Amino acid sequence: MTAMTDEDYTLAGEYVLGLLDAGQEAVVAARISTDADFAAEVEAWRLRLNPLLGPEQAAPAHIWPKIEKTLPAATLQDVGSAKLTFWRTLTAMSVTAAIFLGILLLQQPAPVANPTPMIAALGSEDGRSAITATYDSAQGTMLLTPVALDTGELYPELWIIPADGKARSLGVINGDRPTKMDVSPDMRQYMNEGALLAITPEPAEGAPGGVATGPVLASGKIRIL
Amino acid sequence: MDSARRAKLADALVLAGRGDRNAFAAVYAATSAKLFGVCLRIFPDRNEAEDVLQDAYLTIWNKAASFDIGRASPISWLVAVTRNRAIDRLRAKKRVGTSSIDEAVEIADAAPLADTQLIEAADDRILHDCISSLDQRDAMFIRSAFIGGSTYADLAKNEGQPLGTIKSRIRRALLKLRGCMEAAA
Repeated sequence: MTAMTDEDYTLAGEYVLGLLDAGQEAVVAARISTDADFAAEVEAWRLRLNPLLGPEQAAPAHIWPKIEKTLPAATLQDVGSAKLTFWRTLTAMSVTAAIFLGILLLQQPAPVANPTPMIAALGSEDGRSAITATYDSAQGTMLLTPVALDTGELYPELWIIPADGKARSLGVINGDRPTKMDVSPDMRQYMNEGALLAITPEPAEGAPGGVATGPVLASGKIRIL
Repeated sequence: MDSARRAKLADALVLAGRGDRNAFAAVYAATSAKLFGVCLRIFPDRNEAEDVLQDAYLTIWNKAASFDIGRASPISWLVAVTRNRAIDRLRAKKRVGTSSIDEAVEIADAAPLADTQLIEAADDRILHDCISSLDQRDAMFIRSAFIGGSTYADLAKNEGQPLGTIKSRIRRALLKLRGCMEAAA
């Protein structure tokens, strides 16, 4: 950690004021993500100068409905990157918090030898889609029960998104009635607590090239019973 | 903002980054007055400020996953995203020629009057006093950049001075402002 100089102080201020050209801004933005002391000085300049951008003014009531209407549906990529953000955030947490978490993890009961059934409830924000999944890790089979699922002309494809945030296809499923499916052997390693299951509408033969094309209709994390 | 509210806002912002619409609605409820104030400061026309506010929240929704709680407080991140959206729009308007840098400087020049009326909180008072202690021209440059979107190149052109002269002048003013605010805090 190097000591901050007057040049660093002014550079952080210039960045917050928007005085720099696009190239310099990009360099400073990269430094913020790698240099905590410099990032703290940028934050300090924002706090110093933000009163110039006041005062508060109540926003008219008609604005929020307009914003809500234009929000795009979450995509599988969003869900995946959000998981990565979670891990990044966890990494950035203070040492104290990390130690505290460590203690919590130590206090959890030791894993039992018997395979534990895993469940996931997949839902959507608007409540229009719901499906439950129960995974038997000993058999590698999953029981899927669609409660409500409308994929229109398309077919529901199930995805597993582990901690790396990358979506992997488990195949197109039956959206009309409960079915038991075999999870392919190479996918079983990803079926762990905390991994995310998600459904997107895709062509009958599945998403081309194994990359989801539709919005996420329902998603839910795997939990251990 | 007290620490409990700040923590709640940070949580909601992180959830919004994972696509949680209810959390995003909570972010809006907690911050829309603050961010509309930012929009109105940069675009005094209410209709235009409303458009910018809407645009800013869509940007916030799209960028929420990149919010890094270790690097910024939620409110300063939200204000920065909103200010940058508004300034982008202001600069785009200037490029198509509906307005000029002189206009931005005029807006910025008018700001001290508004400041005097509206400053209440202690932090605002410190900023106001410290900016007032600067050379008037330097204070105007700072406002013109932050609120009017002027870059070094704009200011140098507007002042008819070499870029290097303007830069060293503003850098000196920034160090003075920083020193004044650190001493008062």
